[in-house]
Amino acid sequence: MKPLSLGISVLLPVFFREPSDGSVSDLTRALDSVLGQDYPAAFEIIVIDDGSASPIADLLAGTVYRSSSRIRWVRLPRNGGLVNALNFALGISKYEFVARIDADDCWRAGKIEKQMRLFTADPDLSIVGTGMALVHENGDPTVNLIRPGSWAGILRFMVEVGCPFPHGSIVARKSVFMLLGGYPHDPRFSHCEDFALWGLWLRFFKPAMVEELLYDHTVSANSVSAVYEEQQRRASGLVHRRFLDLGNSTGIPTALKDLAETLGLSVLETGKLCFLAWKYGPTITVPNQTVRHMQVLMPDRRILVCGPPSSLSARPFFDLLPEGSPAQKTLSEPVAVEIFC
Amino acid sequence: MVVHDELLASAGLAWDDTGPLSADWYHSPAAEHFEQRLLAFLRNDFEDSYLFVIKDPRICRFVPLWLSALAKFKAEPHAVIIIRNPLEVAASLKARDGFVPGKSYLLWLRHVLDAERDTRGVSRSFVAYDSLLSDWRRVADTLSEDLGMKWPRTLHRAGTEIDQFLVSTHRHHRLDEADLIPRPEIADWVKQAYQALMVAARDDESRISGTFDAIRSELETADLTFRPIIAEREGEIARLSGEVTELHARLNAVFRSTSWKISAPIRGMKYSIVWAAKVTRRELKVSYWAITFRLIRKLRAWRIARTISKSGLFDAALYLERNPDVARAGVNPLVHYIEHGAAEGHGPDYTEPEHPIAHPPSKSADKSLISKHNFRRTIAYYQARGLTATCRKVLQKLRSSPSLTSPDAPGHKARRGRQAEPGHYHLARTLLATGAMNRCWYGGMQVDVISERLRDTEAYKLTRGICDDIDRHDTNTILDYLETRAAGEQHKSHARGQPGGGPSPDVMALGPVEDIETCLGTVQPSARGRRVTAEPSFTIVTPYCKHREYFTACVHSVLDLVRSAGSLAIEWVVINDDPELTTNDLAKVIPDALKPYVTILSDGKNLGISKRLNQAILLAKYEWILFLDCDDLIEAEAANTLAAYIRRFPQCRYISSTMVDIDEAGSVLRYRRRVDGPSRLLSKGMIAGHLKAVRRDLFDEYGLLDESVDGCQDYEFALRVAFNEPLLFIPEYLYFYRWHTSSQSVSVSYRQTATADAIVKKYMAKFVAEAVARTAGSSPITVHSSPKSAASEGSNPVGRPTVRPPLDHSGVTIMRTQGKRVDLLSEALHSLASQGIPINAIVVVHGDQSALSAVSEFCTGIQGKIEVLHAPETQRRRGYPINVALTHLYESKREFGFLFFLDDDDVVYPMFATKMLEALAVSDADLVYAASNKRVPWEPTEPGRAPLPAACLLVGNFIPINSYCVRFTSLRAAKPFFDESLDYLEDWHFLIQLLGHRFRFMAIGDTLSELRIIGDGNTEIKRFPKVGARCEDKVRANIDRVCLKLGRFYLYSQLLGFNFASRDELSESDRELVSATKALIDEKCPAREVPGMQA
Repeated sequence: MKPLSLGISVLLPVFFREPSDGSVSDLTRALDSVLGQDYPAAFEIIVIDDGSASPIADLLAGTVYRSSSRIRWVRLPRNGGLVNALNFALGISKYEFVARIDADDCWRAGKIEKQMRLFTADPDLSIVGTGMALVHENGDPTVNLIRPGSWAGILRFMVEVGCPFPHGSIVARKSVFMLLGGYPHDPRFSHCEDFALWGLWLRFFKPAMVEELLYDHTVSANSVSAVYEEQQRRASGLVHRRFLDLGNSTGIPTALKDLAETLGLSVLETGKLCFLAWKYGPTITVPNQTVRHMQVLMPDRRILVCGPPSSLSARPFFDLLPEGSPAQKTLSEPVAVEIFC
Repeated sequence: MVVHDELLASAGLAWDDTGPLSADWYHSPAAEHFEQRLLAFLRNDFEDSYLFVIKDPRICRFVPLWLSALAKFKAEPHAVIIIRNPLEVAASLKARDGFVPGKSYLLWLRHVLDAERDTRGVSRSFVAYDSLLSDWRRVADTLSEDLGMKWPRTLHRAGTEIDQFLVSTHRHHRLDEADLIPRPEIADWVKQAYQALMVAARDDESRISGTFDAIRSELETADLTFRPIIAEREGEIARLSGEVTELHARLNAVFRSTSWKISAPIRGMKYSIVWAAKVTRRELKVSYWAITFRLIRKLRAWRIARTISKSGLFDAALYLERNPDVARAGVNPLVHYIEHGAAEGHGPDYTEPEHPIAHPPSKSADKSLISKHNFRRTIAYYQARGLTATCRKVLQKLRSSPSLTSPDAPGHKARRGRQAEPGHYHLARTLLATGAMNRCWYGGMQVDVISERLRDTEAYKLTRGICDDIDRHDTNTILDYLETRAAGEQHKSHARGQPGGGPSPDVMALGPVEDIETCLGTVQPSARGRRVTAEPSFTIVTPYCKHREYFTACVHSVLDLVRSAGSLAIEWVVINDDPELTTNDLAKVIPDALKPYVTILSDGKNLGISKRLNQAILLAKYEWILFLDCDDLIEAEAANTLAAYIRRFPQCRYISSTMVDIDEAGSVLRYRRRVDGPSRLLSKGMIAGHLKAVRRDLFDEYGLLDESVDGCQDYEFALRVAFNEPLLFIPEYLYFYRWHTSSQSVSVSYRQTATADAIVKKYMAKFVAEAVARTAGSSPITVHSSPKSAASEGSNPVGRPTVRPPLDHSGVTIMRTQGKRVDLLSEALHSLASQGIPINAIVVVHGDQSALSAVSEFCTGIQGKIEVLHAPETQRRRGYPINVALTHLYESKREFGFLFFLDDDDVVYPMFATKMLEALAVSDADLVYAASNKRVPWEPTEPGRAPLPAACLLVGNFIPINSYCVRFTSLRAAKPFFDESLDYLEDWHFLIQLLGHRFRFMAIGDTLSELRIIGDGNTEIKRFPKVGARCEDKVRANIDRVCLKLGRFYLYSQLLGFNFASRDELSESDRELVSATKALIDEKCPAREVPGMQA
């Protein structure tokens, strides 16, 4: 894989209830910070106008932003909310790598390049975040947040603190986004949809973090966090509690690696397989020695061996992958297992 | 309202006066004054309101004044007359104001008569209070209809608040019409008025005015006659009340006087002296007991007396009758019985009961018989069931055998030095210790007499220590006790390896438990289960892991067994799973006398208990394998006892004894009672536990222990066997199970329970799958253990291809519209645009040509593949436009992966098609349904109902029409249509139809669509409730047919096949729905013949 040769889709959802000069200049600043990234491969910025009162594209008529071939302007007929806008954009994005930015945020130079170098070095990575500077609109001092970069460190942060990724900092794989169903539409996770998604993501996929400040997040009195603080706190608590209820998560990296090795797949493909098995609970055929790894990865499921594969209408584990088995691999010591909730 | 009281006062009345308000009053200046006040009140409070409500029962008395004020306020009045049963009113007034009922009836009558007369000509509605509390939605609809007005908020939106406000508990007195009519003390006027009002409330106002005029006329005549007399009486009452008040005042003055306060101690002395004498007497008695060393005994006797007294089992009269000397001495019979009579055998405890007791002595096996002191009931229970001989035999042994009764006998160290206990303790303890309280089963056959039939030499005699502390007998007490000991430690103690509490109720609600119990109770011995050797031989297997402090005791219990076994061949395989301990370390614990019998295996690894047990089973050289944990003890006589049973039941291959719970020190915590036979193995959890003796050929035949269910491997194996041949449960206690504080953590215990649940689900699914296969007549039976495959077995819809064709990566949706909501239709169509998979939209216009033209023109401006069809017959119902599209699709040759429905006011979320296609690709499902949101326009979205098992559709529809996809090939094979005779619920009917076609339903947890709550199609309250009820009847009739067609086990497979991972834990209402589904299956498809199951 040569990620630098792969493109990136940058999702930028915007909703202007009443457009102002300030909001438009914030937007252009965000766009400039993306366009100014030193990244040689193809990328697109998808600006999703989430049913603003007047079309946002019209506010920038005649500017370079309208004529740039790298910016796609999409307008939704109605304001359906952030989750709807993001999932819509995911659906129409062209490239395997997806980045996020909000209209009032700003990337620092070199952000994408540093993140993509990690993807180049480790094809098993599914998501890479960066450090973040919280810039307060009211003039309060800027707060710098840099979180641990290792897989274990990110899991530990998730357990001990909460959401490890600043949302506007991430670059992640579209295939994983799509597999997990995008951001959840469940109203219980409103205004906390990113954390809810990471709570599921980190159970099966390998993350990393660039431990540098590469993203400025604007904190204003009108931000989602400020306006929906109570709902956000409640939803975050729910996501966090669910993750903690799974018990010890430190075994995830080893279990995924060992399982991948046994199956002869990449960690990324193994994560996809495990997620599908976890979600749909099919009767599948797996190598006998993988059962204990699956039990570590799915503490909320019971995996029961039900005999040799021939005795059941079990399907090979690999068949779950949407793209099928990468190399038509055969399983050693196959047994049929049932996955119960 | 204060103004109402003032208003009545101005007319010379109080609120509780039953006389009429004079017509002249309305022309008085006072009336004019009050009208102005009412008008000012209206202007002040309701100036900006277009709808307001004023409620006060006193309005009934002066409706004309209010109507006049409202007319000047330019408000259109509507009257709602709430009818409450006069009995309830009387009860309420009695409680609140102390009114006699007669007065309350007249008061009620006066109010309703005035209200009815004065609201004639006004838009009005009569509402029964009962209806309001029982079904306010219907009342709200009726009011809306009667008064010709529209509520400002939809009932759906306001429902929660109204539900919270209008709880029926607000009504403190509940009586109905039938309570009123037969009462002779109530005047006929009241009854007639109430009946006329109730008729009016049921939609017939025609006769009420006539009835009320007649009553009013009679009442006024009576009022003229009796008013002077009543006035005179009221004057007398007023005078007497005045006198009483004056006397009270004088009395209070005395109480406040100084002389009264000074003399208070003298008045109190007479009580204090009596009390002091009592206390002194009691203290002297206690001191005397203490000096004479009798205090402990007395306290103990007191405690026992209290318990026996509470039990109600001691018949004092009978005792005195049988012991006249006690009666003559005037001694308390219960005290005498405890201190002397019981030990002397005087008690009424061994008599035959006059009425055999129908219920078991204790509902819970965990509750000690002794601690309840209901030994007499216990004996009676067993006598009633043919165990009289056992009881007598035990009793005889008790009296004759020094080994069981003497405090100095071996094994009774705990009791040594104590006084002889009352006879009932001996009896009950002996009954427990010998296992005589337990049952014996061989499969479904109860064989209580087996232990008696065994020869004396074979009968097991317990010689071990007997329970010391009789109060620690139930599981909770044991847990509390251990948790207290473990205080400060991180881990709490829980039962090791015992899914003790049985499967969770949620799991049991999913399967045909009764059928399974019947199946387990009727299995026959296997033909392969014949004895192969002359004498039984035993290999004890023990996996060692930690608990070294208890292992020494374990070793010595095995040594005792070897010594007692005589000629029986014994081997002990100890397999080390503790990397910190070597073979030599273990060998040091084994006494030399035992070493020839022991094999120790150690490889320095920790592989888990199941793997270790399997290794030991493979190494065992003898015929029977006995499982012993390293921290527990085995009974010395275990081999002899088992050998006796093995000779009696030569085909039996699995024996389970009863067990004793012990603590860290080895003291007995309780003797477990066994009340369930092997038929309850699935529903009660692991009751086929220690001591487990399994013949080795059983493992050859059914396989080794399942290592994937570590911790519950014995339960899984027992179930595997129990479905195929009878297990033998014996009453004797052959195993001592140790509770201690260093066992498993809470999370592990939770996981173990979840594993046991999964095992139960697996076996229920397996049972159901085989039953479905047999019902379908397919032979031979193929076992499918998965719920998923259970659902599929025997469930092919007619015409479905055996091998599925590849799934086409395209979808088609049917959108019905009347062309009236183009803005909404636009949103619905746009929601298809970002699906990531090509979606063909078939828009069916249910309207005239102009609607068709408008929609067609609109759709040309929308991106995507859109086909517009016309359903021109506007008088036809909601299913019709969908059927137009379905016919179109069935007749065309086009192929799609899946089909879904989308009304023009709903939307699907961007990932809808992708996730649906993925689910269809991963599974064999014909229909995939997801969670959905709902939204009232301009309100935030709310979560819809979480997915439930498809079988729950039999009770109600929980799958919105835009939240599911159907595999197109399956749909085309079955060719179902919507029922066009239904005004409502046609979508539910359609889903029931698919269920009837044996479509495989699968739920996924993603939230993929949004349902808009517009109109009454998706609300419980219908605009036309009668039509709604008729439609529901029709759907339910179809459900009955589908139940009959699919049969009991298929429907159960639809419960068991549900993917519970697709949702959060069931809510209480969801549990009720699942229970209702199970009840419906049992009612519509009762069990006829219970099939067996093969391993």
